[in-house]
Amino acid sequence: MTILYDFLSASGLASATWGHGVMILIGMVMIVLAIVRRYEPLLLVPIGFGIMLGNIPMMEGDGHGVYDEGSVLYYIYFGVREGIFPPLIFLGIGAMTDFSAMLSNPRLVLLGAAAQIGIFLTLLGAMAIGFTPAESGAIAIIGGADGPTAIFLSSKLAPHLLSMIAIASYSYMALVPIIQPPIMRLFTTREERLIRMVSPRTVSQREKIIFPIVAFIIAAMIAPDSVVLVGMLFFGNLLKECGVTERLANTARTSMIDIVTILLGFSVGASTQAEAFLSLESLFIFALGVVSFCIATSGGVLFAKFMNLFVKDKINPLIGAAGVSAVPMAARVAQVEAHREDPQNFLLFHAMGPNVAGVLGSAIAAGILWSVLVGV
Amino acid sequence: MSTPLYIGWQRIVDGQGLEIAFTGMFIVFLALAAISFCIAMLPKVMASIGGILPESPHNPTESESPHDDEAVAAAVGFALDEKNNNR
Repeated sequence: MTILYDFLSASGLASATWGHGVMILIGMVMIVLAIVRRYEPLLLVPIGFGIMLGNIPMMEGDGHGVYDEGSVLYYIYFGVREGIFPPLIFLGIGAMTDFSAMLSNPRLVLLGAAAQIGIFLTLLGAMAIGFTPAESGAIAIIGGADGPTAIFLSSKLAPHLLSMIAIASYSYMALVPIIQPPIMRLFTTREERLIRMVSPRTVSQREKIIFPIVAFIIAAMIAPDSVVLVGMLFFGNLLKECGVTERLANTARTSMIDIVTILLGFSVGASTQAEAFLSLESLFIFALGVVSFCIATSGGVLFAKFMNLFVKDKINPLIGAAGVSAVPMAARVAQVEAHREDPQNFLLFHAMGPNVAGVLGSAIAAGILWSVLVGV
Repeated sequence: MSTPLYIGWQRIVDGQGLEIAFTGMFIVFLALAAISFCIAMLPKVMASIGGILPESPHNPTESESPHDDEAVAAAVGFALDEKNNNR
């Protein structure tokens, strides 16, 4: 009887709190959203299961958790904590990204820059609420709608907020189809949504090969601290486009990115602890994250309208919303919204331009915030 | 209400928030505008070097990819194996 009592008192049930229950429920909701609604399943399933695993109550000294030195999860989380996984994911993204849309219409790159306004305005909001400048920078990057960038920057600027920022970032990326459309409709007229864009020119293979080299040098020279993310992105793209490293490109965009995504998603999920996660601070982070996302979306849309004042071939402002990264979800949302107004209007290719420019813009913004705010 | 607003503004000022935000946005725009400019110039550069370095008529991935090398190596290996078995 004593053995049974000892066993039960050492079980998870005995030391469970309402916080553990809520976190396990959040994990389940993520898994359900991924499976039933197909919201970013490759991310939400590992994160959701990781959250459940990380919030199984354990006895003091069990040493199985992400923060327990020597545990398996501790070593997996090392890649997140030290910012190793995000650049590897960028390598895979580079190896699967076709920059043709951007190369065929270079002015659309500016939409990817405009959408980064969400990051910098949220920085001010977070500072005003009372977060330190470094914490504010880490929170603000949620507006970049790029999970790996958010993890990379928060691991450098505010490691204690990493799990909250990562979950907020991936959650909002998954919710792009819900968050963006009302903002896109709010800032555009029906006439603007009906704009059909001119067919882009064909891009030669040689341009595709030269682009990652030239763009890397420019981005790295202007914002040297973005070199890790931007460098891996363009290195991956060069592997894809040069035509002689197909095996490497194929590994980077399939096996490698899949393995890193599993490890990153799972360990980020497992790093969420009820005591830290269910707090006023995380509520503020989630609120600031959604504000950042909304500002970024409206920034892209409004800048497209602004550009239309000067250009002959009009831009459909809906593609401005794709300036937030979230590749390719944000571009797909622009396509769906345009299709809703005019079933014969195909914007997906055009929207991919600002979409991939947004990845670049958020990586550069992260580099700038890192260089300015680290140690502040 | 005015006090919290004032405090919030003061925090932004103390943390040099405005300077960071404006400078950050400027650098992002500068970097992407420079990339945009270079992309716009690429076709002209391509045209000017086209005479010196004409684009290869064949795609290396079609005939010289590592997959082809592996296929050739596998075929050679299979043939040698067959030959050895027949001895």
